[in-house]
Parts: sequence; C-alpha cells; structure tokens
Amino acid sequence: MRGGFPAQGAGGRLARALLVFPVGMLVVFFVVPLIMMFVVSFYRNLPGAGWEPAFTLENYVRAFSRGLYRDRLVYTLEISALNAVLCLLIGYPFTYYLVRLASPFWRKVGLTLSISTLWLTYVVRSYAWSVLLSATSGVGQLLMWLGLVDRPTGYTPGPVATVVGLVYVFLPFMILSLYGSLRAIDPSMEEASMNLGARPWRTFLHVVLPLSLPGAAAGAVMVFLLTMGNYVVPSILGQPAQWTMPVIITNQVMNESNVPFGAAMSVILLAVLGLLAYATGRLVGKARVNPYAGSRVAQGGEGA
Amino acid sequence: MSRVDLVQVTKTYPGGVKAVDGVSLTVEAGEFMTLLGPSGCGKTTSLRMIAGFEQPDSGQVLIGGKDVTRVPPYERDTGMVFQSLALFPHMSVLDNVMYGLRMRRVPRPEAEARAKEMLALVQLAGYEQRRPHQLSGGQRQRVAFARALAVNPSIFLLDEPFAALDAKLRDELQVELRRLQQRLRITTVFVTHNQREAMTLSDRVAVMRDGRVEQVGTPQEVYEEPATVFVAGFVGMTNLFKGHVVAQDGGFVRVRTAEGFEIAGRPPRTNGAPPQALAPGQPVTVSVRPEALRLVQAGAAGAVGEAGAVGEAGTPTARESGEAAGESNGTGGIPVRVDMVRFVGELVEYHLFTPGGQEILCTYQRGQAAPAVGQGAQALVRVEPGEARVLWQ
Repeated sequence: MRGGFPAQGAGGRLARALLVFPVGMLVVFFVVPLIMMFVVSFYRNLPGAGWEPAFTLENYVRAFSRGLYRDRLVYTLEISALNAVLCLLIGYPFTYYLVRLASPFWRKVGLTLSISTLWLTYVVRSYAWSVLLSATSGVGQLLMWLGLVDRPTGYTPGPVATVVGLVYVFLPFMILSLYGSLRAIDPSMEEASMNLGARPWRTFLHVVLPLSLPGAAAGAVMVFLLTMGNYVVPSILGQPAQWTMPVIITNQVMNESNVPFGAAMSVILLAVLGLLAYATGRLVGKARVNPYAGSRVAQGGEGA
Repeated sequence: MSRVDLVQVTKTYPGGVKAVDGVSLTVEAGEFMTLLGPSGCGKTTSLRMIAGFEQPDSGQVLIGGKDVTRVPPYERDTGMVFQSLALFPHMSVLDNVMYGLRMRRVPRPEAEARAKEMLALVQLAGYEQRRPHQLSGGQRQRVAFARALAVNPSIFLLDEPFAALDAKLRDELQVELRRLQQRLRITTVFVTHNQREAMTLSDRVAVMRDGRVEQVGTPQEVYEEPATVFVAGFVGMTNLFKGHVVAQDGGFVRVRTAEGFEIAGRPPRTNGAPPQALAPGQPVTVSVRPEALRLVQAGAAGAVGEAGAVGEAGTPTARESGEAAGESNGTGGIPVRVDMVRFVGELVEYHLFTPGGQEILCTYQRGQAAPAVGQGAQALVRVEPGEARVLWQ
C-alpha cells in the first residue's frame, strides 16, 4: 500500500474498498470450497445414496491402506519427477541457445513460439498428441516410412504418449523460468571465465550453471507441481496404469459417487503438494544466497 | 611480458558497419598503451580482438610475435578487466582471484598462496572470504585487477574499468593501476574515452576515430603536436580557427582566419614524411590551446576593427606586443569581448567572443599574472609564438 496509495485518509479507504472485491472472490470461490472439501473428507459415504455428515477417518485409512491408492500416489510423484527432469534436460539447452541469439528479434520470436502452445487448452493439445501418436497417423507412419519399424505402432494411450504429452504441455513453464535466469547472466561473465583460461564447457560448469541454478530449480519445481495436479493429460493419453492422483480422484467423485473419499484423497494430494512447495521454496531460497554451494571449485575438488 | 601487434586489422559487423578499418598498431613489451576515442571508434573492438573475443575479417593479431588471430581466448594468455568487471557473484573474493589458476590446474595450496599474494598487492588482504557484492566499488575494481593478473598473463587488457566510478576514486585507482603496471612491467592495453585518463596513465596513446588510428604518440606529443583536427579537439581543450595559408616563412605558416585575423603557427606534423610546402590559399585549421593564448587589455578606445590597427589604439603593452608580434610572425591580436570569467581552482578561464561570434577559451594558471579584465570588457587575444599548430583540413 505504501507505494501506490496513501495509507491513510480517503485514498486509503478507497484502496481498501477496491480490495473487497478480489478478496471476496478469493474467499467465496477458493477458501470456502477448500474448507468444505476438508470437512467432507471426514464424512461417511453411503454407497448409492450419497453421504452423511460424520467424523470418521475411514476415508484416510482407506487411501493409505489400499495398495492401489498408495501406488497411484507414488506413481504420481514418480512421473512428476520424471517430467521435471525431462523438461529441464530439453528446456535448458534450448533456452540457453535462445538467450544467446544475437538478434533481439529472433530471440523474441523464439520465446513467443515456445510459449505459444499455452494459448490452447490442455484438452486440445492432448487430443492432438493422441492423434499424432496413434498407429494410423503421424509418428507411427513416419517411423515405418523411415524404415525404423516394420508396422506402424500406436503409442496412445500408453506410457510413451503420457510422457510425451506431459513434456509438451509443461515445457513452456520451464523455458520461461530458465529464460529469466539465463538472461540475467552478464555475457561478460562467460568471457571473463574464458579469458582466465576456462574452455567453454568448464565455463558452463563453473559460471553459467551455478548462476542459472535458481531459475532451473524454480522451473523444475513448477513443472513437478503442475504435473502432480494435472488431470487432462494422463486421462486422455494414458491407460489406467498411467493415471495419476487427479484422475483417480475424478473417478471416485464422478463415477463412483464417493465424494468423501475423493475429498480425502484431494486433501492428501494437496498436503503433499503444499509440503513439497514449501520445502523446495526453502531450498531455492537458500540456493539464491549460495548458488555455488554444490560447485567443485568452491570445495577445492577440481585439482589435477 | 610480450609485445602486441595488430597488422592491418579490419572488422565489419553484420549490417556493414566497419568497427575497425585497417588498424596497424604495435604495443611494445612492458608498455602502457591507451586506445582513446569516442564511443563507436573501434577501440573496444580492437581490444576484444587482442583478447580473442572478436575475430578480424582480415589482418593479423600477434602476441609476442606469434600469430594468434585464430587462437581462442582461453589459450591466449591475456588478463582482462571488463567494463562491468564481471566478477563471479557466486564465488568469494579468493575463489574469484584463484579462478584462472584453478583453470590452469594449479594445485589448490599453490593457487591460494598466489591469490593471497595478489590480494595483498592490491591492498585487499583480509577480504578473501567476502563476496563481490559485499565490497565497495573501488574494492571490486581491485579484485578485478588481482583476478586478471593472478595468472601472470603476458598482456594486461582493460576495457574502460573506471567508467562507473566517481572522479575522486577514479583518480586514486588510476594511480594504483599505474603503480601496479610499472611494478609488474606488464604490457598493458587500456581502452577509454576519457582523454584525461589516457594522458595521465599512458606511455603512449593511440587516438582512434571511425575505426582508424588517427595518431599514436606519447601523451605530450599527442597534446602538443596533434596530427589532425580531430585529435586536437579530442585531446584536451583547444581553439580551432579555420582559414587559409597566406605564406610560409621560416618555421612558421601564416594563416588568415575566416574572420580575417592572422595567426602564425607551426606547420603540420609530417609523420616522418618529408615536409610538404603549404601553398598560399590552401585551406587549413589552426589549433591553439587555451593556455597558449594571452589576453591583453585593449585600452580605453576599445573598439578595434582589425589586427593591424592594434598598435595605434592600444596601451603601451598592447602596442608593444602587437608590434612585436606583427614583426616577428605577422600576427597582431584578435579583438574579443570578455563574456565570462570563471575561477576553476587551479585555473582561471576566460570565455571570449570574437566580433564574428566565435567563442574562444583562454586559461591562466593560478599564480600567473592574469590580466585585469572583467566581464563585458574589450580585450585583445594573442597567440604565444610557436604555440599554434596548423593542421590539414
């Protein structure tokens, strides 16, 4: 409030009045439903007849005791981690190249193109991949035409399609995050390193990489968390074996009409997400202060 | 310690801009050479070609007599201080200074000892564990020096390192840099657009303009014997008078300025070539340093039309000098109106206007007998014999 509006007097009152709307929206459409979900997760499910208010832990017990749901949670964590790593491995070289383009015009074009897929909804993009990866069109035919396979193979629905779809959908977030942090590195840092005798790859290892670590970490965390919460991609491009927690939850609520159990699993997912966000937030925060903590030069392990 | 040679080096940037255009320059071993010029003159590009960050389109770069034109920067053995300093923010001061040694695979204890030695040399002992952002501007500068010199490079390169500092700190660091350079006897190439910096630091100065070297010489040579109008105007303050040659007699060239006054000056530098006679009527420019001008009172009559008329109207002093000048080198004086007198500490500046409206700057050192002329007064300005230089236009 300090900068824009005076904190006191008519201006202050106006500012507060203006805040009522967004805060109200947040409370009505976010905080209240969240509390409702939390409350409902302790209700008792009546098969075929909805649910009744109660205080029972049976939904939570079920979520943790049944191998199926536990496996789904573990699988969700695994595929999210895999996706974060893949996005980082693909996004880093691409973004580094983009940032080092001499022409500001092509840099902007590159960045715009790489995030342009965000204009389409997950649904459209997932179905597009479902067509591309099917046996009768796209990649399957292409591989046969190239002579790499004997018969056109379909990858959808299945693990390959799920991973491809997830990478495709979340890569732009990684690129955006990396772009900012790579752009912030003064190019003369790299020149200074080379001037001091470091070959390009050592320059990358000792200067570029540590300086871009906060951006890379933030991007990886963002992709990880977004993947954990994604419903559309695994449900369209995956078989039941690729279903993540959000898909299972949707099934419980929509198909099984077990709202309390769905609510309980949502709370668990939310808790895991919140915990991870908090932990990585602290980690990245530390990395900002000491991004060189992991470097071998600092620890003196680089010698001959 | 090695010499550096640029041999007919040319660099054209995409878009057709010739950043460096056929530059040939030799920096002797142990010499402090400054590339001086306005922005866009090619001085930084030349420096970056010595460091290996830019490849010339044609020509050669030699370090220690060896052709390094195609050698990458990490194999060139130069130590560079960048304009932004480019200290690694994620490393301690010690790690920054050790970086080059570690990249050369010097064992850690040895590297650390050498880095500490360098830090002591730049008076930063005790700051080893600080981060660059915890240091003052001057300290950061010294870390950059130490880092570049720790590897004992054969060439020391500096790209406007003082641009971001305030004047006082800049002065201190200039002295420190010069001391460091002389102590290490390292071949140094320094880039700046600040002529004062160039004059006070360098053994020799190369004045550049539009990708070419206009003049190379000691600071004194460049100041006292500018080769071109550009050099005269860029290095120090000067008064330029356009005109044409009247005659050449003895060691002096008599020039009639556009306003009709006569000034005698020494002929243009020949750069080793045999002196060329200046034909009467040849258009030239005369450069006169502000401190080479002397101001004399014009007397009560004030209004003086032409240089020749001075003797009749002036005070005894003015008459005398006018006659003396008139006899010795055909110069009278230029009548001027005193527009402003400024006291600048060690100098007194007189801002003068000729009848034709040209502004002239004349300075007196503190302690010199300055004429008692105030604002609005009419006066005569004359050129100390031999202090004017005639330049090709």
